[in-house]
Amino acid sequence: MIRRAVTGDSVAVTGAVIGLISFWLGWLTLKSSRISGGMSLSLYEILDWIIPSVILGLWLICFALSFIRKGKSSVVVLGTVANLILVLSFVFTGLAATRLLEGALPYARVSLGIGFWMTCAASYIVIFAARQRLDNSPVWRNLISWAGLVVLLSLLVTGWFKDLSVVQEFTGREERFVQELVHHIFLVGISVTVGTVLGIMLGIWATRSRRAERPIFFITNITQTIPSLALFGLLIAPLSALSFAYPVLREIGVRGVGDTPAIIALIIYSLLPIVRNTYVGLRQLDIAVIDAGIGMGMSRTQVFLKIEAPLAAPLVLEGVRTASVQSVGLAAVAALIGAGGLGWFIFQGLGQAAADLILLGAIPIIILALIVDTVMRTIVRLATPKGLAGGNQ
Amino acid sequence: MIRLEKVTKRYGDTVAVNELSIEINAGEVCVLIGPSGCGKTTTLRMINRLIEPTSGRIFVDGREIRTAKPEQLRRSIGYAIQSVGLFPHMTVAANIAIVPELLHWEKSRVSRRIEELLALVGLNSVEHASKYPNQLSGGEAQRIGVARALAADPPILLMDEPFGAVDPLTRERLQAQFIRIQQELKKTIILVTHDLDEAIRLADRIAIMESGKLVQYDTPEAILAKPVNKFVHDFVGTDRALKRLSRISIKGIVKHSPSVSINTPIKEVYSVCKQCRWIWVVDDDQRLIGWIDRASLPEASSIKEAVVQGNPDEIAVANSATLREALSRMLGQGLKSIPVVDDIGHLLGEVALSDIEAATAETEA
Amino acid sequence: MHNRQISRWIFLAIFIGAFVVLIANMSWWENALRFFFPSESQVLHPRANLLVLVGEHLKLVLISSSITIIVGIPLGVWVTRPSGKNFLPIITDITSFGQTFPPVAVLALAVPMFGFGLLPTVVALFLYGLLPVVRNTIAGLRAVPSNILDAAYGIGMSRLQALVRVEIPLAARVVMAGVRISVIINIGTAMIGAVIGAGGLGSPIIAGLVQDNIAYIIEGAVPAAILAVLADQLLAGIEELFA
Repeated sequence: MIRRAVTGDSVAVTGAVIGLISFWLGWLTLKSSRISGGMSLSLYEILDWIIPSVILGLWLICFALSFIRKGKSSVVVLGTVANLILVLSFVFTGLAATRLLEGALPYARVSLGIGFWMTCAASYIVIFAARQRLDNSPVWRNLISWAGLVVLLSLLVTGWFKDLSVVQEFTGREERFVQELVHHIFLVGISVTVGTVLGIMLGIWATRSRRAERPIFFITNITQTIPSLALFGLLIAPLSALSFAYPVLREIGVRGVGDTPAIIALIIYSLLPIVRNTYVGLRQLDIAVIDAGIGMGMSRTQVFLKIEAPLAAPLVLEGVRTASVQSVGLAAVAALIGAGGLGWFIFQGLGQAAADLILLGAIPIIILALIVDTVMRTIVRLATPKGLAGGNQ
Repeated sequence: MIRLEKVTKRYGDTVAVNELSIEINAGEVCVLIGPSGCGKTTTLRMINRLIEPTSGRIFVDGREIRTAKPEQLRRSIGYAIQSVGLFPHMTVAANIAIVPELLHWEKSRVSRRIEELLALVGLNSVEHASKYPNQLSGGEAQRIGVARALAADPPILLMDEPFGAVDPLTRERLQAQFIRIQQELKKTIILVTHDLDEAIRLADRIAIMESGKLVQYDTPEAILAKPVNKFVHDFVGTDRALKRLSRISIKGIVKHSPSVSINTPIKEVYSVCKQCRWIWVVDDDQRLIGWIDRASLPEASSIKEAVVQGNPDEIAVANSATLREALSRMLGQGLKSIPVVDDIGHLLGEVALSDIEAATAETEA
Repeated sequence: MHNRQISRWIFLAIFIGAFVVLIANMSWWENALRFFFPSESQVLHPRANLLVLVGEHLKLVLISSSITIIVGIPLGVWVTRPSGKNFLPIITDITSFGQTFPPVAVLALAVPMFGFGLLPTVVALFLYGLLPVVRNTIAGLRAVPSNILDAAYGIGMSRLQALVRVEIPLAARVVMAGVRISVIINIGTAMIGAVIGAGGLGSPIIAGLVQDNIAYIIEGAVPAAILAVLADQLLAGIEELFA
């Protein structure tokens, strides 16, 4: 009987329930300094009852709406409400942070608490659930998916959140942040590029020569399993010795620690996905197709350029995508060996026990990884010739 | 034994099965046939509750099938599908043993049953029992599928295009085996096929379906002789008469024919049959060698010289053959009558074209 | 088992044995490192010997991987059942974009919530390791051909029996591949756990970076690399058993 009653969208219901629970949990943490622990406060403890009750009310509306199965309009409203909750949560958070700091000690900091994060997660769940049911209306679907984030971005840029500890960590270090961000992108860019060129060459070699195939895959497989920190370590020793023995290398910036071992390691890690995908991409081509090309009078090079390369391209680009996303993460670890990049903030934060400095590093890295992933997916889609069934996800 | 009462299956706006009512007697082979999308497979799958009807009731042995748990119902019904669906991670023996194990048979009974069934479908148990499905040929896999369906000795068997996925020669053999097994076991079988010849060969009764409705349900002879409407008429095709021939055995129309032994002196041939133009020639064991044309007798000095040798495999038919095979042989060899032999080659008699005509005229009436 | 598989297991046993002997004998390391790095006053990280470090590292990985398997496989099974299929899209979405998160970010984010030491590391390893396991469980179960499932239900298996006797055995290899990926990633991420005080083979490397002592770095990096490769080969061997 209960099962019959709860015929709502179970995902949305789950989201709404989580949202309702998160409302009562600690929203912000007021700390006496950036490195101390703090007092956890819920939203209604900071602001007057009325303002946070709006969020509570909206969650209840979400909960109720999730039980309405039919009708597009109810889904749209559900999605809009969820977006509204997300935006309002952030708005009130910014407001609350400012309010908290007004009467506090000079070095006090305001951090985001678990209630806030859970609310974000809960609204993601509800937005996702609403999005699912809007498959046939792409306009509404995109609106529901992105509207909230767009508003948040504009709020961020206009400084609404300036009193949050995270943002304050940033304000003190804007220049450094940009510098490390650019450096991070540089590390990823250069290693993926070199890795792609090398990887494609190795992949092609592996398809052409049976004898080369096994050692190539053996080595790339083994290196892929080596932990990143260990590989960095293993490269530091010989590179140090080399740069010691040949001072000219030091001149051009090749040293034992820092960028050099990082880039070399990143290149090595990029190899396997690209080599493997190149190999598979070329191997999977129908012999008949190549045969037809040669039969028509194309030279081997022309067959390669006009037939094999375009058909294998999507798969190879998928490999590049894997390698790129992977490299964003690995470059973060490279900060440990002095290569800089956004990881620097993470490890500084860990060293100083400053939670929001950690966030300043971790969140941009995650966002960067997601951006790289999305951009590469689009490139893969664009490179897939029309008429090829599906793609590799 | 199995009764469907106004069974309907709806998918949204589409009606796959429309108020189907049909009754199948115990021990009968009922073949569901019809064009693509007519609802035959849906009907089959409603009987073992893989699909639940939108409305209507289904009775097995007097009891409505909705009353028990679906798993329990299915364990008393054998199920064989076109793609066979043997479990690739289990041996042949393990595959067959599944339902008996689900029914908690003792191990010794299960192993005996496995041997029995492999023998029944004509496979060597020593060789095949421990093989894996990917080591079997198409025909072997289909037979194991049938063995698996029969494993727990269910009274009812549901089969969905069970012989569809093999080459015509194998299919023919499988069908012959099916007939033999059914004669022995007398199960109640519901079989779905799109092959009319198969239906005619295997069915006790055929149910022709179209757009979810039952159009005609009768014996193959009746359907061929009296199609109930234009659809059935077109469905069975314009060669109905030929199709009917495959249901009649030649046993009824084989008649004695004169023959001479190859060593008979040539003068005696004249006395064997005064009006016959051709006479069959046999050896001392009564085995067919060929025939002799009276017109060639004057020039010949012995039968051995005059005999036109024929390969019994090409010119004769077995005693168990159907009228259709006999006619086909006649047309192929250009003969107006053909000899009938037993399995060793002994001449039993002959069948003439005129007799086939007479036989079909009778059944038509 | 084929001959190739048997010889593979024998090799594996030999290498693992050799590895254990290697890390038990700190004096060999001392001598080797002194040879390569004569200028360093100390070549062995004073905190612990390799046996202990490897033990700590394995403990981290084993605990988090066990929890991952216990939570992840049932979760993957649940979302492919009728009762959980509403959640399949969102779980698929989370596991796929979760993979783009750098593991070090997940580890770092665990600190504000759980502090330093063992707990945040295990939590981060567990969460991040969940992704390949859940994803592969889902993929493996969905790859079971539908006609085989139809046959299973048709001959009278209940949903549970079909799951246990047919779906899971057929999906086992893919699931195991997911477990393997998860464990290997965990071994790597656990190294960084040394930064937040979880111990393990990352400790000497971090110490070496801080104190500019390359001998320490090698002391940590070499066993870590060997450990990872051996673990991968071991799991690959187990994966093949499910073929």
